[in-house]
Amino acid sequence: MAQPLSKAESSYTAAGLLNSQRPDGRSLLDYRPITLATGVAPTANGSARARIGDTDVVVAVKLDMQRMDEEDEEEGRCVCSVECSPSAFPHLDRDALSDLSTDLTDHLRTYLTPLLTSPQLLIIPHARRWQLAVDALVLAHSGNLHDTLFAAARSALWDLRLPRTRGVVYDAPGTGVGGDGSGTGSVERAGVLDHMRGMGRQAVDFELEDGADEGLPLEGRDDLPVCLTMNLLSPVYYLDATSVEEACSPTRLLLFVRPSGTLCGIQKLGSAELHPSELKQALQEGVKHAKEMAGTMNRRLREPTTRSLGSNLGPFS
Amino acid sequence: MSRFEPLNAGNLRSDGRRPLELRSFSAQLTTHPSADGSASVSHGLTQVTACVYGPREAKNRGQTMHDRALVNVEVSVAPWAGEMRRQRARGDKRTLEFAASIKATFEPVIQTTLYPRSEIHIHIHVLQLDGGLLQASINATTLALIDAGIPMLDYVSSLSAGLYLTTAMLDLTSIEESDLPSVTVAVLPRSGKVTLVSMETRLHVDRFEEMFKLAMEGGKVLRGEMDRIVRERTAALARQMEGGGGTKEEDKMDTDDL
Amino acid sequence: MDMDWDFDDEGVQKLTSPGEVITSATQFMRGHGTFVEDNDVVASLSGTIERVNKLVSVRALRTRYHGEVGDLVVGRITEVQAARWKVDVNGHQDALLRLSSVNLPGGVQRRKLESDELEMRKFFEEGDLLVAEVQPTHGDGALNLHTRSLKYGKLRNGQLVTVSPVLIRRRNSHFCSLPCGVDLILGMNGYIWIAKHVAENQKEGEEGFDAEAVYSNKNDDIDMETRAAISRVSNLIHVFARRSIPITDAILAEAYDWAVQQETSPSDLLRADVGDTMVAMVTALA
Repeated sequence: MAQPLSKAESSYTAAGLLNSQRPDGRSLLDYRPITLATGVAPTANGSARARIGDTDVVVAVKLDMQRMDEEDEEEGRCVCSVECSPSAFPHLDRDALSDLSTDLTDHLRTYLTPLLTSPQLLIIPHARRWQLAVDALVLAHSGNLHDTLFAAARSALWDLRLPRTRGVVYDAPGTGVGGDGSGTGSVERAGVLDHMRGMGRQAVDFELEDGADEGLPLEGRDDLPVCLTMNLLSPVYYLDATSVEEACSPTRLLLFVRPSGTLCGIQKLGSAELHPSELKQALQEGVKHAKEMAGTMNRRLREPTTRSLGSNLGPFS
Repeated sequence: MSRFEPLNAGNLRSDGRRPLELRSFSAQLTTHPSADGSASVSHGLTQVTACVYGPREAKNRGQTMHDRALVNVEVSVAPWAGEMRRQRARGDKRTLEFAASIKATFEPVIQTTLYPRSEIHIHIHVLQLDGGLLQASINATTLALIDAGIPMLDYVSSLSAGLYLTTAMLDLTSIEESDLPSVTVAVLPRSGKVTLVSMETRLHVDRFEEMFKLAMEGGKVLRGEMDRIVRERTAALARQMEGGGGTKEEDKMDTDDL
Repeated sequence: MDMDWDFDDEGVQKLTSPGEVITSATQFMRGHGTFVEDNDVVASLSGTIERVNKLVSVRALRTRYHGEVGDLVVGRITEVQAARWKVDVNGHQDALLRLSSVNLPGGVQRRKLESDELEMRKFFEEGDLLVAEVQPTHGDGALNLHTRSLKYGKLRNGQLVTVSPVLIRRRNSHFCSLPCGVDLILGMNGYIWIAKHVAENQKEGEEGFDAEAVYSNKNDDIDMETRAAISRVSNLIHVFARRSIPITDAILAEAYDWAVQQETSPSDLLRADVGDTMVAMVTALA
């Protein structure tokens, strides 16, 4: 992904890694300093910026009210996109850049967004629900993009506030009004009988109880998975590789692990083959590290200072 | 639907500003150290980052010119930037047109003839959008070019102006932009030359001059603010480079070589 | 330097920014970073004003590399073309290294052969790093390099750090050896090569020019201490570069001693607080 290295450079780096010495002096399991900041995009319902070393990703989550079909049972829907800035990848041309964006979008779509189903996203059963839009922008890249991307996405979802809603029913049976979700206006015109949801009669519209910045956090936000990339260079493995170090590992394993230690996804990158016994060992170790990282991240997100733009929180662990 | 009232009885705008008052302006240089020059600018809620690369070896050699540098502009808007989520495809017509007008604004101002066959690449990221996209992009690009040490004839500073009934107002938010006729002007403050005028709404010709002049005046005020930020940064850098072991001897050697 | 310049307070660096009138063009000549308009010399850059006799110029504090003849640069091969290589030196265009400007195996004096042109990648291929000198340029402004000295050529046994070119001052020798057993090549273009120290007598002599060694891609055996020292120096350079402090061997040696005395590990320097303390200590000493 980066500029090509000379043979001497890559063999120097690889030889060092095999002896547990990295170009910047970290140990194989050390992360570079990690910075998390939430609430970075005021126009979004939840947002975060994560930096690992110089790799820098912003993620914003926006809610959209969506009508659903009568038969539709899905509670919430989620769309996502990842855009890679050409400034982050000066060596890639347009096509390579859009391929990379597509790959990363697929990773989010496969390993994160399917987990985002919660009854909270349902506004009126069979009629209205929230659609979550998770959009990421890669501003700078110096290796370990996946971990940074998922850290940012997870923090943005952590920051997300879902406005509380209440259902509205009409006293005279008739057709639903508007449906554009413009709260109070339609309520007044229709004449409100009851503010309660599930009072026997079917709610046809809703109003918001909360302003833009208030609302409830997403249920299960503490339990969302983190991504941990293991760079395998048999017999060693290392975490948080820089671009140069990434060029030296023939295999990379992406592990998606919940803070509880449950593994919810694995992806292998790179063309080299992997023996099942290596995989088993890597998994055991990786899950342990990921669990640790997720715990630290949750603690970090709970600190009030994280919700202020650009606050530097120093390195993990 | 409540009707939007651009000016209330107290002659204040929807966000409480007076007609000629600008939103809070802030700017930061070298926000992306990996670029040759970068800057981030905000006008109220609108936030734009510009990264400049070059002058460097052109990626596409076919386009290079033997007598000057090629200026490329690329713009991307974050999907969450505006009120509604919107994903813009690469090569979206409107974005391309927008990039072309930025390029046309800066081409005459950058001393491109100093760098034949090179390329200067400008990448603009719109992170937040609440009106004034063009002005914020131009101001961010100016600062990023200065940060990259690319020679320019002058600052380019830009501001939008709108009209409600007979009152002209400056620095429009997106709700004002959608309701009022508006014009965006980019000026070279020293000479008073104009490098861009952009207007996409109808406006009576008699009113144009007043708005145009106000936008130019406002642009000069912004230039003062940008210059202050640039000077502060330059002074800080100069201090660091002095303080960090550079002796007078070495400095003299440097100048002799010029 | 004569000091009768009307706006030159001694010791105070005069700053300017684009579009600012510096002085009258009738008395002064315009240099880099300025242009003339209506009898005025006007700045086109933001930076410090410098003057040598009648020549006024502005030096930007962040910019890409402007090549000058005789400069020592570290570069990376980007393309192999007919009888020449293109080299990225962080400049306005890639520099050119002609086949006729490198030493060929089989003796320094050997003439270039047809077969050499077909085997260009044997010497340098894409991605390779090299150290070279800028030589007089003619034509379209691209820099020409040469490696016709035994000090120059392909780089091995270390790692590259890149900083802004303005942080490298011109000096007598850009090859330095630090006391910690590490060799530095401070390229004027801001590319710095940090490698294992090679003793003077082990360097290839004029007589025994050994093509194998000069164009080899193989590293020597490097012990753990040397690797740690290289990492530490590399992190120190990053710390200084982030704070725009010029890189010299003296300041690095100073900082290295401090880092060792404080018993910090090389990776501690990645942390902002350790970096700040280190810079405060070292610049106070200077």
